[in-house]
Amino acid sequence: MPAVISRSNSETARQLDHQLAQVNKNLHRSIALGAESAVRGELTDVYLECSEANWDGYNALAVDPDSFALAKAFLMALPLGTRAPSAGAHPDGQMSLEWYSGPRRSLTISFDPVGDLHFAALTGPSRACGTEAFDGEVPQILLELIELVS
Amino acid sequence: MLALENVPDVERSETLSRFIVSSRHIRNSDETVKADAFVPHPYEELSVNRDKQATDEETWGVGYVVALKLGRTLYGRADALAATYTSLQLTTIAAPIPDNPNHVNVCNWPPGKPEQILKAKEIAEKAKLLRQPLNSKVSED
Repeated sequence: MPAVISRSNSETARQLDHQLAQVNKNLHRSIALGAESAVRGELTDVYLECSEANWDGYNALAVDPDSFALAKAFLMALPLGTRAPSAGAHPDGQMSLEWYSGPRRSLTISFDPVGDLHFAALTGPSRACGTEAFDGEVPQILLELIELVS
Repeated sequence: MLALENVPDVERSETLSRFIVSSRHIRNSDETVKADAFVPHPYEELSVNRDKQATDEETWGVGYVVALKLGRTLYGRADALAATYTSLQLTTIAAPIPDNPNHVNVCNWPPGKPEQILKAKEIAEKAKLLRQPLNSKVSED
């Protein structure tokens, strides 16, 4: 899944888009700048730890490789400088990412292998939840929620 | 522990424990529990353990047996009042099983995953993490 969607028509613009995407990818791999880099090891650890059924002791399904791939693509698509989340898994085999900054300030995203992002957030007295499709760009509502709980 | 042949309904004042056998369900930064520990999907029920007529040692004993059967490590348990669940329009149903008369199912979860995560987050906010007291692994992960 592309982290950057090209909207360009000319060959030069396409090349520029490609170069920008490459720079973005490399920056994401910088520990100082990219959430993907910071959490990549943990994401893989969770995937390996939860790759067999019943990893939670309550009959959880093994984590789906497509959910793992979706979570990685999502991390790559986050704006540079985004605070790194922590990784986890749900009993339905979906990977999860959590941004948490204290009581009633947290966001959890669950990565459905079909390409959907299920999310829920507590932001002080308010709460929000829903499902957004992931097409290579982070949905605006999730960017706003990450900002709110970071 | 309760007697299998005489299991009363769950009262709002009872404490319900969710055993934690995945270290990923614990935030080490502030010793709290993640919502992930309370999401039931794809199942319709969430298994917990009630403290009625059980000593703390007996409650931990149930957790150790669960972990031992799985060959997993018991990291702790997340305790919350039954009222925490019922205030979220969930129901707590006594569901004794042969080796654990104190077993309870939390039911009536909304079908949607986002709504389930939201309720799980509300429960996790109120739950108290208790680290297992033996401070030793039942078995290696």
